[in-house]
Amino acid sequence: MATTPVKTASVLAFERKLDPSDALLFAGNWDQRDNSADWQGIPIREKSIRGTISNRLKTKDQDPAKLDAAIENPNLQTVDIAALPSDADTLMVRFTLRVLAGAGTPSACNDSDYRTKLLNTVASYTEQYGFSELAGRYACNLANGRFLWRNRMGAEQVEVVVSHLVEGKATKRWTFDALSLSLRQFDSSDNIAELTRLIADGLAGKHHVLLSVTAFVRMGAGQEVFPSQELILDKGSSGKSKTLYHVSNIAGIHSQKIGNALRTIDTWYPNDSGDALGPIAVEPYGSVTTEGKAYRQPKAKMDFYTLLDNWVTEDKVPALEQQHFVMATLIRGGVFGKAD
Amino acid sequence: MNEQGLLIIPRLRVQNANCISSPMTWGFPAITAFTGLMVALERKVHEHTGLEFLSVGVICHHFAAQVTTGGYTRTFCLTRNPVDKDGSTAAIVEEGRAHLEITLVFGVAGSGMAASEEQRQQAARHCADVLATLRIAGGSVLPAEPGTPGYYQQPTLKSLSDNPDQRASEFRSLRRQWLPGFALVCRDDLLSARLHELQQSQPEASRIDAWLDLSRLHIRPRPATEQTQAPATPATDKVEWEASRPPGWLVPIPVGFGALSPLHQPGEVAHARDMTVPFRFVESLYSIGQWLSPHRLQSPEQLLWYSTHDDSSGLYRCQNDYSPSHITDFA
Amino acid sequence: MPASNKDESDKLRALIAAFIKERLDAKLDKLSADDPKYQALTAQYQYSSWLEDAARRVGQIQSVTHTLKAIHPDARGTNLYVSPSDLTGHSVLGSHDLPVSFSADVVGNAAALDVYKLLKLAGDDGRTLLDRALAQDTALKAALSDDPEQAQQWLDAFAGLVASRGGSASHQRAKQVYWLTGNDPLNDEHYHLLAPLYASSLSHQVFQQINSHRFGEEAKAAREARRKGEQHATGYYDYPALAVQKLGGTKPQNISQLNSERGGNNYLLASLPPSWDRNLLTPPLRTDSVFPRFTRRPEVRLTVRQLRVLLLGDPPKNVQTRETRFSLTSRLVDELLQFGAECWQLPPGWSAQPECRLVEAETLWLDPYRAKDDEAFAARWRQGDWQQEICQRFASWLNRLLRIAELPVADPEHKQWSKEVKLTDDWREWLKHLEQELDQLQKELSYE
Repeated sequence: MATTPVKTASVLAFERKLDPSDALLFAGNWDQRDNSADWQGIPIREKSIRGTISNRLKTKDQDPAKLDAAIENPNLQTVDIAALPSDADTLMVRFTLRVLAGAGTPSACNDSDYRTKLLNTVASYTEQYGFSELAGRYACNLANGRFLWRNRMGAEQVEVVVSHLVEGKATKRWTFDALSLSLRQFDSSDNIAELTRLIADGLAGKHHVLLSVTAFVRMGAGQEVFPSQELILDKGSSGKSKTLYHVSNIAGIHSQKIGNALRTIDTWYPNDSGDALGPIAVEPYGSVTTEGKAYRQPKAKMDFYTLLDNWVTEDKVPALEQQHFVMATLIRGGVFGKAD
Repeated sequence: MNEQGLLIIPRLRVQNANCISSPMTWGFPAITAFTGLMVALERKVHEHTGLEFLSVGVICHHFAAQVTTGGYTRTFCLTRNPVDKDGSTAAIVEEGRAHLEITLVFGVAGSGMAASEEQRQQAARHCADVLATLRIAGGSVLPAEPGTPGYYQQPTLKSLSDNPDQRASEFRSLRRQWLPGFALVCRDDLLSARLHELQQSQPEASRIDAWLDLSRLHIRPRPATEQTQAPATPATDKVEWEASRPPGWLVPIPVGFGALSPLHQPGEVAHARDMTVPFRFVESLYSIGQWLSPHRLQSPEQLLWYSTHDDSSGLYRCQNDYSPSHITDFA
Repeated sequence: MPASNKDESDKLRALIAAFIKERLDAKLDKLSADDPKYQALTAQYQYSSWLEDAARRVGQIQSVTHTLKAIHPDARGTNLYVSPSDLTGHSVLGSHDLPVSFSADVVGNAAALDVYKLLKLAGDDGRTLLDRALAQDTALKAALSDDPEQAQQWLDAFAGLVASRGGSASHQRAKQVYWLTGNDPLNDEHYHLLAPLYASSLSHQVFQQINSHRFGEEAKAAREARRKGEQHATGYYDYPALAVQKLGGTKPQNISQLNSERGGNNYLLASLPPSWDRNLLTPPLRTDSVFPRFTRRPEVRLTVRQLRVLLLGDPPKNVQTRETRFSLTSRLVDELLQFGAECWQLPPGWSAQPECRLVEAETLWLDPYRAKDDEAFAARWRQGDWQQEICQRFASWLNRLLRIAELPVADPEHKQWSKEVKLTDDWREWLKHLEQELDQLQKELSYE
């Protein structure tokens, strides 16, 4: 049967379906994990530091006298810092994660033919595979504590407790030894499998899923901890060279940063080097901010837009892994329409 | 149609709401975000609850914006966005974020109000559950903090009498739960009054002048009769200055939109997000709002906002029927 | 052509010629007369060839009052020129409130901005060339070219500066909101889609006004006077919590001409709710009353001071005095109720600690939820005579504060004014209101 070709809608948007809260940072002791309600929030402190001259000097500045003078004029700056108090050896990081139904259903789409085609495409994926592959990877990123970012490095022990909240009460809890789980692969275990089913059900809209996630990081008393840094364009107005994020003076990690860790599941990007590079965050062009690099270049035809257009408008079904990637990008959300 | 009941969703915590409420204001999200939320909610819960949503009131218990506080002006704290396909930093579009704790009060009617007390409470819980999955001014709803007392979290659906006196007394009994907190009401009357007042001395004064005048502090020397030099302290010849502002916690707010173009037929405007409804280019319109302690509100109408529309003048705005009580007018 | 018109059109021609010559001179300045470019430029800046080119380039820019890119820099679509006088005169603030002398904005290719500057040239009567082009002015037409057909073409091209380009278009990055216009939210046809544009001319007017209050000479002098503690006739204005939003990042000119003139700075006035810092909330221990703590609240301090000033000033007994006093006393009651409710946020039962030495009425008022688990407390609470006591304490607190004024106690006036405070109707009414509020609290919690 001949059908008129479908064009990508010029307005096409998706809301994110994995919606984490900001994570807040608390301090306590490892053997007091059961009384974590009493733990104190970690405040942000301001500190004046004396920067030393360590940058590579231009030839004209290599005159020893000048260098001495430069060292005598230290670069004084104020920065924010956060640390465990001297009587606490463990950092607690706490956030909630809402899993919203309707993955693949656009929040805005101005072409009804395209919308129908898109929904059929998504339905064919979910009928065949469900959300178990993606949910399994999201579950691993909760269990392995990837969302702790720099706070996970150098930790002696990391325990992650995930609870399923129903009407404000935890109806089920899973505890994970995060350091025993790899950040490079997605392992499975009975615990992870249960959590996976719950997340998959939430994405499929079987029921509303709200998780509470608490990570305990044993790092040693007085150690520095790492909340998110604020991006302030006009530094002049705050006079500070580093501003850390806090909520009512409790250090915090931005929800965006938690979300970025949870969707670090893309192992399907093209990789010429042959070495296994590990998962990157799901982004339309496979971009990795820390590396200033994008792994899914349009010219390789492995970027989200090419894959989605091929799949929906040209019936060129991508390989299974790329279907996972496309679905994961729709769960991430964004504005994806194609203007002329 | 009149409100037959109030659906109260107490102490919602909203994270990362958009705090740039219009091209000329920032702070609390625009009231249009809440009337929009109301419509989205009704579309999701009407079938299940039989409720029709007519109006919405908002009480703010806590507000924290992510802004710098040093210096004379505020700037917004941003988050780093993912890099572009060429690895370069994507253009930064300044967005303002704020965390809020609010109580929402919806004026409702419909068959759902005829249900039993128990069914009504179920309906209230259902509405709260659905609301938690919606974005509020672009922000996400967080669950209550662990340890929050239950009486702060329980959504309720209260019926209202038809008798105005009884209705007012039913309403007044609800206000205590909204403390500490402040309700936003509309004060178009103050904008007009200030314009009129300014024009007495400067005939060319415009509504822009009146609006700005209500949005600022006037800092000037205290009149000589009011200089408060206590006799205990030696008199100095320094003049005391003071900051004065109009009485009441008044703020400039966006209240809706005014048409800039004729109404375009569905599908006429390229890249409209919906090709099946009429389309219009508009601009934000502004008035003055007041943050009021809830015990000062005498009836549901004084709290609630509703959206109106007038095709001929191209006015799309949110309205609220607060009128200041007079000295004799006590609860 | 009548002589006066001829005269007018000669003047316009001279105006245009001077504009072109100024530009040419600026370019030639750096070149020597024998440079081949010198010749080329001179030809290019001939009156009619320059105008012909300008009439072509005017299509690359648009004069507007409302822009799209300020909403989102990646958005492409319709920008509009809407004369303020053509807008409906709503009773709330919008572009319809702009003065006749408002500044229009320009979007499009920055390289064609010189054409815009030409069209903004004004003759003796203050009408710009653009105004004339829009009005199909015969004098301007005659000034453009001796060939009427040619002149008409150019006139139309210049008048096109304010015309909308292409068909109407929005964009997925533009804001587009649904507005319920019918009475059934469930019916998809009962909506309009509204696309707000950035009111650039209005923002510019507000920006300039705020800037003159921040950086103008008068404002500077007033700030200086305050710093020195000197008299000043008018004082100055301050916009609390004013925010600066950057539009267009490091390239404000990409957004629009006026945005570029503002250095990409967009002022946002604050509509912040009153907010209290819950971190500062601690149980009021080791004191027998919370009123000293209440007195330290900035809003309370300010209000009491204003009330004192009002009463000391021996105000005339008129409506305005009554209203000011009403507003001040009501603010104190507001603050007291808010203050009480803040204490309710503390973990219930805090007043049972041994360090709590508050008089009983205050604990009953400030820790009501303790009644849930403390029968003895609940019984005293239900008795409900503490509300009147709180009101009395509040009343005597205020009287005491007003009496600690500057006037010696022996002052004969003092008696009268403290009587005034006690006896004003509104103050009595407010105390009644407060008591009712506390009664209400007592009743409701008894049922919970």
